[in-house]
Amino acid sequence: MTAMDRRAVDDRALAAPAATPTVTPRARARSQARTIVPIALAGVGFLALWQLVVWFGGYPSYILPGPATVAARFVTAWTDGTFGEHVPVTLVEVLLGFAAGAAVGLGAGLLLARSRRVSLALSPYLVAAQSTPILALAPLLALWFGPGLVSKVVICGLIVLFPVAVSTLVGLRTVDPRLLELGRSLRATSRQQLLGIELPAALPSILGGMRIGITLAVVGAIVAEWAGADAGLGWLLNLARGSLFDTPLLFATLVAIALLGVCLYGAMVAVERRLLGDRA
Amino acid sequence: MASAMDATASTGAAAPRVPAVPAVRVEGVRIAFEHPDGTSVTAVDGAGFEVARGGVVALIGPNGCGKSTLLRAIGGLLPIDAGRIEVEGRPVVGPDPAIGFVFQEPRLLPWRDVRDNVAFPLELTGVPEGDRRERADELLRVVALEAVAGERPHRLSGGMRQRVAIARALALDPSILLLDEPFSALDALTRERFNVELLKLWDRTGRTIVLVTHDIREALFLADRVLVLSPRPGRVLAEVRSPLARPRSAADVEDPRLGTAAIEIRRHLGYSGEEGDRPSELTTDPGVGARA
Repeated sequence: MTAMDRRAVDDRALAAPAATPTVTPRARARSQARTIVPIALAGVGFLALWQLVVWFGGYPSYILPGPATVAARFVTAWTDGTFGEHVPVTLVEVLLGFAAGAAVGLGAGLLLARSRRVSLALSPYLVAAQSTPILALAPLLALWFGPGLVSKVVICGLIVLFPVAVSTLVGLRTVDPRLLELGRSLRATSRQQLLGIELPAALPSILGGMRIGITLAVVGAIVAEWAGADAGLGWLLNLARGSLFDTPLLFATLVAIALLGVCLYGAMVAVERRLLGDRA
Repeated sequence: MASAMDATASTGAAAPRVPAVPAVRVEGVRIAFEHPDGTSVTAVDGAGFEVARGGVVALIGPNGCGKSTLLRAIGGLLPIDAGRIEVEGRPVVGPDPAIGFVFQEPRLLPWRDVRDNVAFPLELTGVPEGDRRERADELLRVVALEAVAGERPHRLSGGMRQRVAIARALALDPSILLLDEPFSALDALTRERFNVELLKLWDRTGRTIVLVTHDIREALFLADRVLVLSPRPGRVLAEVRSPLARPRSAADVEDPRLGTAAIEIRRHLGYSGEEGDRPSELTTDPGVGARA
């Protein structure tokens, strides 16, 4: 017994060097700095370039406002409640549209992976549907589903569906057949195979598709609001460009949209880390 | 109640000895693979043998002789084209609950920790969580891996992973263990040690074991009987009994009688004792294994 224990310890020692790289807090801080510093530098460089173009081009602020003007407008848009009114509208559209599109995409991917015949029959149409510019369809969808939330969710969902379906299909198709044979040897039912082996194995791929999907969902919501809406950041874009002729607000809204996209992407990555843990 | 028990006991004693049902029976089995281009390859043809309950049988043969194919057919993972395979008297139509399969690779689920990998078969059969955990920890003690129960498989060495796979195969307490070159990916020293552990496991549990190997000495060390398979299509050419008595210990690797048996197996495999034989395979580094 003691001999066995010792052996286990020996094996542990053998496995350790490759496995557990000890991360000191200082090393972590250094690696964080290494990622943050270039991002900050790129941002500062972009702003400087922008400001230089404005200065040397001599553009009036209704053509190209400088970063300081946009930043000021961004702040007032928050303080006067404009963003407070429109950001939640867009956020809800994006989240619902993403959820709907991801759910349907997951189901579609499962169906396509299950049956070669179904995937052969439907794939060209899926691709064709994806290649159709959503911009062209959006006004029609807005007409069908009204100017409210439903048409936004439908348009977002349509955009999100494709990458999630494809990544689910690819993920399921590339599951190690040896793991499936293991499941078979343990007499797993097809449901158990799916939930216990296939979906967990395909999860990294599926989440990759969702990562693309969440950024597309933001674009989808904005496009949908352009096509017909009475609130939201896309609608605000239209308003700022058209009747208000407030170009700084237009830019401030773009910044808000970009920030929304970055935050949602970050959240998706966090979910992914949580679900996948140290697997990757 | 008591009388009924007496009755069965007495009839049992009085009845003539019924030949025991073998744990595994393989009869005239043929397995062919269909290629996409229409040609077919016969991997196994006319294979037949029996394994008694508690027996240990090794299948040995050249690469591609269909030994793994045959093992997978016994495990119900491959359909057979002709013949008959029975496990404990039941014809095999699919994976049988009496069988635990250990594959060539560990095949652990990377997203589960070691304990949950061992508990996976229990989960599939609906064992409640508390019991699963307890049973998994018990099995991990058997393979001396209780210390890494919470680790993910990728943190373990190759040998540890394969031991987890063995623990998992034992989870449903199968009476028959099928092992497909389970230690072939390990280095020679680790392998020798694991063979000794496998023997210990067998001594403790007395399971029926059918293992596939291409290592002659390993076959003779582990098994009671070594079945020599022909090149493709594989069938049983000869049966060589291991000269070693049970229980065996690591020192038996050095037993000189193994050499004689190994020469016989080599003769059946098609190379003579003199020229094709590589004596290096028979010699053991002094001290290796003996101290394990």
